[in-house]
Amino acid sequence: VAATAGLGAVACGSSRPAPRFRVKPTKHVAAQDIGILNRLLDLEHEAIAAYEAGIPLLSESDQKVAEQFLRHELAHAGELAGLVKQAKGTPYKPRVAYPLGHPRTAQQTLELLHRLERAQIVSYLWALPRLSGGPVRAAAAAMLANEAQHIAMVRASLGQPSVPEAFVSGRE
Amino acid sequence: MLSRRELLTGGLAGAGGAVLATAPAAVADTQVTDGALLSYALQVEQTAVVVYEQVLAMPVLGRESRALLLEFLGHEREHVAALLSALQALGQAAPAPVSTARQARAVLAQHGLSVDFAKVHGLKDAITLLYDIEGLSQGAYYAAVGLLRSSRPLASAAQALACEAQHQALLTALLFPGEIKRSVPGAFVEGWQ
Repeated sequence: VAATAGLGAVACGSSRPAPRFRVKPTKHVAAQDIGILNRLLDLEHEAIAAYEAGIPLLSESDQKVAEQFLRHELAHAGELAGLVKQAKGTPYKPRVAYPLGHPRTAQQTLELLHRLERAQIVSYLWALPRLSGGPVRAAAAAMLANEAQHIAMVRASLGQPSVPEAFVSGRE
Repeated sequence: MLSRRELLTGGLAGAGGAVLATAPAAVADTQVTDGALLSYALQVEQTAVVVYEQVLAMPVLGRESRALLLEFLGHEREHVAALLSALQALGQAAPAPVSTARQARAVLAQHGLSVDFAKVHGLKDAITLLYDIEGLSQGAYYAAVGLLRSSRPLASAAQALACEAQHQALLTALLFPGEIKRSVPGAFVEGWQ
């Protein structure tokens, strides 16, 4: 990525200081997390289906955004499936069909994506205190935060305030 | 997410007379307390408030960007209030507040950022500075979510992390409208410390 700003005010040393707190990478995922992770995975599959189906209906500029978000959802699905496997579980596969309705316009497609991003945020927030390990929680939070970025951009395309609340709940 | 180094070009090392403090050694997670995690997040958030206030006082912002930054400043203040409440609920005293530009510079210096607010001359400079502080906030909350032992502050930390991620995306979009790969580059938002 190209550097962007000729910044005289902020300077960097040769290396970033070591982090004060380290979240260790996930090594062990508890079996009790399998159901929660699969529930999140199921929603990721649904979002993937919606983005894949909806992208052709969007404007050219929103298509680029949606294609980027689709890549993210695919990455989330891969991460969640990997965590389920680490817990010696079987990751849910995508369903044959999802109840996505019949959006026919860009606006309807954006509204569908907004609804699904909200559902994902609500589910990640539901899952976080139920997941048993800190590293698994951190991974879920990293995906939650990305979904929050998605919804902010979708809301902007819908002409709504992008960041309406200081604490993202998925209900705003 | 873009790293700070990927977003920034180089600047003037040591500019502004900020003292480059030695970075604290990483703390093994067995030693981490909830109070330490929340205090750290509070310090970063208070720094963010000061930085937003400093940037908003500069004549570098247009009407749209000023309105957005004012909104984000309000969010940072809400995060500060929540962290103070969480510390109080733990029976933990809050650390010394970060409320001046000098104190904010010292905190930023601990993270390898040497800042001179007087040298912020344009929107790019201002946004890049805010981009940095949003990344630090994310890093503090990401660590909190991964390491907190008590469940009560967990949800708020995750919700604030998500909000900081939104801030960073929108700030980047101000500089690079229509460039989604810059404003929402990665699938996992962890910030940095």
